[in-house]
Amino acid sequence: MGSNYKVTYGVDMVFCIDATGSMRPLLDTVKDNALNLYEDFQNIMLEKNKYVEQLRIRIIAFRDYRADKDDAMLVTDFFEIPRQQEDLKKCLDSIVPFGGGDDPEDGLEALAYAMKSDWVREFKKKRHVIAVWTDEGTHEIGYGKAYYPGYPKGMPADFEALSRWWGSASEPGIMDENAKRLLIFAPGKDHWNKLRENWNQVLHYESEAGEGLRDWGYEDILQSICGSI
Amino acid sequence: MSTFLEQFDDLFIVNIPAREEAGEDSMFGAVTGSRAAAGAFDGCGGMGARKYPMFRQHTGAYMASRCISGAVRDWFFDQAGKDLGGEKEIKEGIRAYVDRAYGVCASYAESGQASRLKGSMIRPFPSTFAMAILEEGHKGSFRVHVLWAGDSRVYLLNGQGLAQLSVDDTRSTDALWALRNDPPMTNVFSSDGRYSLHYTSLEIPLPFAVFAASDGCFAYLPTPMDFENLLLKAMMEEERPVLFEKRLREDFGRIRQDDTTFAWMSAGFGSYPAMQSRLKERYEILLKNWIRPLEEGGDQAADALWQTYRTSYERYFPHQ
Repeated sequence: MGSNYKVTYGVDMVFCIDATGSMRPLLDTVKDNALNLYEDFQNIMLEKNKYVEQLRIRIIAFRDYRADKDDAMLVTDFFEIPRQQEDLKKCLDSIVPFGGGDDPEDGLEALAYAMKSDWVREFKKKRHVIAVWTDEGTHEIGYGKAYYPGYPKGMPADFEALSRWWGSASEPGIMDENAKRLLIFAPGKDHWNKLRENWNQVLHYESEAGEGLRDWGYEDILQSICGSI
Repeated sequence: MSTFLEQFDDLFIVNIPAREEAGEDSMFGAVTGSRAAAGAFDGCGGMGARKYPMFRQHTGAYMASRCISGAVRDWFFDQAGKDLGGEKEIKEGIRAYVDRAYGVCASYAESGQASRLKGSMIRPFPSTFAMAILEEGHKGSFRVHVLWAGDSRVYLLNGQGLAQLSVDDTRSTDALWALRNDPPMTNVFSSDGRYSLHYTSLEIPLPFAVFAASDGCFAYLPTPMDFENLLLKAMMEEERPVLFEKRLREDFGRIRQDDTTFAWMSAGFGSYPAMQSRLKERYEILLKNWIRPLEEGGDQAADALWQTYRTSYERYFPHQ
């Protein structure tokens, strides 16, 4: 063993952000959190003597296929942070809150997109983190299909199929069972509760429906992610 | 002096927090007239990240490991002069003490604001558990009680090399796979009571060393062979026990990326030079068969070398 041996980490984060009209008062906070995350995350990890060699962030802004059609889903590639921090900022700045139709949104489709990300594989220690920010519950997956001809192909047929994508310790899905983490900042309703109760490696910061998340539990979540690495 | 104490050599603990004043590991080590114990308890920082104002903003993980080490200490000294019994009595005894301590901790915690953090990644006061208890066995041997939960481990080191005595609560029991994949734990102590405490008991001929280790000791090395090399190299190069302990502190400090706890006991060697002498041949075999080939072959050689090392490493593996 060389005396300079050091385990390095590759961490990918996919932020699924509800960009519907009701998020107007909260969206700036979410964007700030996403932008500050690299520095805060790196500081905590360095305090723990852990070195993250690569951090990438991908953005998925979601709304409602039935109400917002072509504007229902904005999906980016991964940004390498800090090299592409400015690009990430521009992307986040481009997200404006509008639309959404009825109360529930298509957060499960956003989750499906996130799971199919081109996750980092190279590092010995890696984390694949999906974070969802929303102030509402979810439609059934596939709800928008009947109303929007452009609804994406290859989505899970139902919630059970989406659960199989996520996988479990005994039956892994498409996610790396060791690396995956799901953080949900959402009200305790619809499928968010079901996810929390039935999927492994899930952390749910529960807000009051309609009220939004005032501080988004940012510090708690950050400590949980760093503590699990 | 009892026969046990005549044959028992040494106990020491190395504890290095990843962050000063915020280390989430805790430890226990003690010797009584007829038995000795060494334990390492690793509060799980991810699952137990919640901070408690009533515990001076310490996390659930920080409190959990201390809750457990305190409870184990009480249990251990309350058994002085008594027969420990078998697996059932030992496990139930420890659980009763730990659950009582958890109850006190949780009752204070409940007086604060309820957490909004929920889900399968969160547990109340989560911690691993790894402890070895030594007692006199049949002539020329000691009985080793091994108790564990989570991914902290109990190891044995003797002339045949390093052996893992506990089995990680993760998806695989393969130690090299675990180093490479960093799997999540499937079982840890928690104040909700939803945990299993595993146990095995072995009668092992003297001399040997047995120790409990949190994952900070071994999870940041390239292979399990490197862990044995770290231990034996330090032992062979240092002249006195106190320098061996200091050297381990330095070596663990150099590789550490987590809280680190190493609780060591040795017996039957008689002296530190005798232990060095007894394990010298093993160290030479380790260097020749595994460490030098690893240095030459790198990652590509590691898999094949691990397979030749693994049989001996798992020679005391308990059947779960």
